[in-house]
Amino acid sequence: MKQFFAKGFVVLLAVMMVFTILSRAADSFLVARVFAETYSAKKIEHIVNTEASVQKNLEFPVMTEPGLLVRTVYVEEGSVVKQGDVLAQLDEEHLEEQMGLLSDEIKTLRLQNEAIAENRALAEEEKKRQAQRAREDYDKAIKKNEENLRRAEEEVKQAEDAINRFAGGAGASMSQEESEAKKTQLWQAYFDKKQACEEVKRSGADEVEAAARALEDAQVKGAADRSSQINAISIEQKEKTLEAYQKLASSCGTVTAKEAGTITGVLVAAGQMTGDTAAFTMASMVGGIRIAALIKEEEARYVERGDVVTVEKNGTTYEDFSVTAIRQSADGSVEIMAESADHADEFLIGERAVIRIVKQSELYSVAVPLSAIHTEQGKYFVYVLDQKPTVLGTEYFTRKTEVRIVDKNSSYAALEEGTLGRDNLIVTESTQYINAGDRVRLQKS
Amino acid sequence: MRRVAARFCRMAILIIFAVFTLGPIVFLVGGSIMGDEEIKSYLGPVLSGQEGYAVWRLIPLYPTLRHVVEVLLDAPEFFHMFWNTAKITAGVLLGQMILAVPAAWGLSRYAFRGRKLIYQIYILLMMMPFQVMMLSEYLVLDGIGLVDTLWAVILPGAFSTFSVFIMYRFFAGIPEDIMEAARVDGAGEWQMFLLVGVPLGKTGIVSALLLQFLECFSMIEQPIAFIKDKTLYPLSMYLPEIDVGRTGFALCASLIALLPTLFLFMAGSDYLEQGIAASAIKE
Amino acid sequence: MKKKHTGILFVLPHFIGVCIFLFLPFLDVVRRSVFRAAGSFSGLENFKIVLGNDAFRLAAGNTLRFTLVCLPLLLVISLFLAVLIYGTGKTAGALKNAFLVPLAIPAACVVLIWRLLFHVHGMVNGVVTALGGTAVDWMNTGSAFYVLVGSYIWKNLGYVVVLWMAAMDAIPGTVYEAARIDGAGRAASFFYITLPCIRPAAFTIVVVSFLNSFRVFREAYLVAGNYPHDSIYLLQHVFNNWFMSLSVDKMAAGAVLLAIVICTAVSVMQRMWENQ
Repeated sequence: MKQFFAKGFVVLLAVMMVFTILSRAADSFLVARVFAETYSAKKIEHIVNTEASVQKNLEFPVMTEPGLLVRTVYVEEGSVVKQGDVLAQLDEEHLEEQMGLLSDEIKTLRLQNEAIAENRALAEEEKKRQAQRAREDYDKAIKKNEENLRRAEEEVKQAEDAINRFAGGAGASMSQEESEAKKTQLWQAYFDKKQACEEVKRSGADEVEAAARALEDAQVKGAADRSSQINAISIEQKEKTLEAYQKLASSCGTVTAKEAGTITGVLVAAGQMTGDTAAFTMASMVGGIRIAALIKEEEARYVERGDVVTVEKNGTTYEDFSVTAIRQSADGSVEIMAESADHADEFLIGERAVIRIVKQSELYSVAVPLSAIHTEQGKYFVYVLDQKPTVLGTEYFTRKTEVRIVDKNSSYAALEEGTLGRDNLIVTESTQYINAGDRVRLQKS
Repeated sequence: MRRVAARFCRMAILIIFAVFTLGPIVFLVGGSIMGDEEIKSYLGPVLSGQEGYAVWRLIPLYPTLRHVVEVLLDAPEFFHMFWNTAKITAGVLLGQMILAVPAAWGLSRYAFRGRKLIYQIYILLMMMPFQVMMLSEYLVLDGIGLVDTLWAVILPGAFSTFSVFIMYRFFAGIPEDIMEAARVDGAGEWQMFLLVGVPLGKTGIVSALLLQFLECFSMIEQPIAFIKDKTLYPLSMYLPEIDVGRTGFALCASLIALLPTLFLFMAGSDYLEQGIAASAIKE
Repeated sequence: MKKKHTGILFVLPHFIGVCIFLFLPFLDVVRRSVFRAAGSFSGLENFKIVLGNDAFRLAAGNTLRFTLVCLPLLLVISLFLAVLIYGTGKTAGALKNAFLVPLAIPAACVVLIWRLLFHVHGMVNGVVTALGGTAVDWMNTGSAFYVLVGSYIWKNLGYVVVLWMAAMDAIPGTVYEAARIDGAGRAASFFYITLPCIRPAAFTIVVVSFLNSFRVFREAYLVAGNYPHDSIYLLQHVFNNWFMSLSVDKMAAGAVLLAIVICTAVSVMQRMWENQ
């Protein structure tokens, strides 16, 4: 019995030793090993990476003179042309013909203008003579009028004098009745003369006015006639057209590209007349490269006009593109445009390229790796490590801390300040699923 | 007839007291193999404030080894503290074996000068409870810089005078003629100690060490005072700290913690008895 | 016994250790008890402070009360049991072991059981109410004292029983034989033979039990922690508190006081035994 317990004691110690090792092993197997770090200040980078295609940029017309017969069209839509390439050939005979017609028309118009000039010289001579006469009539009328008026005023004066003389004693010898009669007679004569004078004045003024009108009429120029000027203009136009025709003729009637580019529209056809509108439309690369891509709606949040776009094509990277337009499309995706003013000769319309837009946020003071964020019922939280002195030494225990995400990308999340302490170790990775309050082993990274 | 009745009565009284002393172990054994649900249903009033009073069942209705497994495999801290206790115990016992046994031998067999004084000092120190020695021990341990190490508990224990006292009794009981015979055979003093003293005083040594072992395993005051570092806590400070909610676990841990002392007790109860008796028989 | 100086070589290593770790520091504490913490001599001032300290008085009172209640109780019960066992013959060993088991149970292992038993809703109250009594809040009222008394008896019963039996074993069987022939009954032989014969041993038994009563702090601490109910606030609690606040002067004075009380008590008991 005693032997049994003495042996039992030794066995017991051995068993305890074995289970010490086993429980340690079980512990290290079961306890989650975690990586943890404190939060850091970070800018959150948002990267939009997608395939894009090169778009036509500025489109412009290739004009030619209207009304010319097109003989051959050498290009079609999508053709890439160099500067000076022949796009179409006009019919030269028709051109010559048109040139002949035009110079005839110009000749005719010139002759017309000469005739108009001669007629106008004759008419002006006549007009001048008539004006001369009117002037003379007018002067005469004024003179005569003045004479008549002077005479009438003389007579008024005489009548007045007669009244004054009578009043001064000439009539003293006469009886009262006689003098009264005489006085009345005299005053009557005075009033008559006065009236006659007024009459003369009025009629004289009328005559002068009539003469003045005649003079005015004579001085007025003849009816306005601009036809010669109009003719001059059309001569000028026709001469220009002619000149253009001559130029065309000198280049054998070819329509050429003035810049390198791509034909985007052919508006003429062989055997038809050229119209007033463009003969071709072209997109030139000279104005810059435009690239379009479709991105997802959630990515679009991070793209703004003016953002720098990196374009990668055939192993070459171009850094000087920037976003010029962002358009929401009906299916939920967003179309963005990016342009560069350069590299005209390195891109072709319709080519595919990979674009990348890297958008850096403001500097967030609290940022953690995205792997630290857990979610539960729509709420986000992280596990913070608490140090506690335990029997087995200082150990770490997890504590759930709810956080609000301000911004995030595929590797980092920025959190609202205030919930996490500067020294808090935040679990970023764990070998096992962990719960709040779990004991964990911190791996030094 | 009257004798039989008296005998029965006597046994009944003794058994009642035996139940009183053994009860806790039975309680621990039952609780260790009881499932959490069952424990909760019995101890609800204590653990979760239910109405009524807690009850107990010595043998579980639905025994399970879950808590045993939990303690053995899922509680490394339990073992850590167990070995802390083991280290303390081993240190103390080793110290006593190397130093206290010869000291007891020297005190009991030789009449050198100052022997009486040393003996008096030992008795005095043996009588002093920890309350009295606490400050003295602390001051010296602090001076050497041993506070907050296991040595703070081991060293004062290793120089405990109580075991010297017990062993003294046994060494003193060895008849002088055996010693004389050995001397005649030409044995030196150390040979006599090792070849005569130790074998003959074996009971005393074992019983003293056994008592010291039991003391070490339930040591509380010294670690409270001298050890602040939790990693150095002995098992006796761990058990009371287990959550109330883990009653089954705590009971099982207590039982397992109790096993070493219980095994040694069972193996050495005779020695123990003699050791205890030795402390009371007058010189 | 040989008068040889080699003897001191056996003792010296241990004695040096004892001096370093126990004895000299103890003397230092005695010295400190009459000095202020700052270092100046203060005479008995520290003792006055300690004796006037409410916590110390409460604890000293409790300790004294505890000793006065426990010692007689323990000694009587254990003697009674020892006598009972003494007559059982073969089963004696097994029973002694059963009583000794608590000695092998670390206090920490039974703490939980104590808590379950003496909780307001615990099993003891269950039994009490089933028997028609009223429930008692054991841990938070003066009843805590009796829990502690129970713990002490539980722990030390076997120890003292063994001591009593060792003492009784030392009585030669022939003495009883002679008494029986003289016609003495069992009771008579107990009172006239057993008791007088074990009287010398009783001294050590009392002293050992007395000294062990200072260790009951263990149970008190485990059950109730650092701040137990007033009725079980023991000297060790006071010392622990002073220790926490590093009141070295108070601790020194308290320790010296306690040492004096213990030495006095033991020598008084010794005197009593010798005079009888």
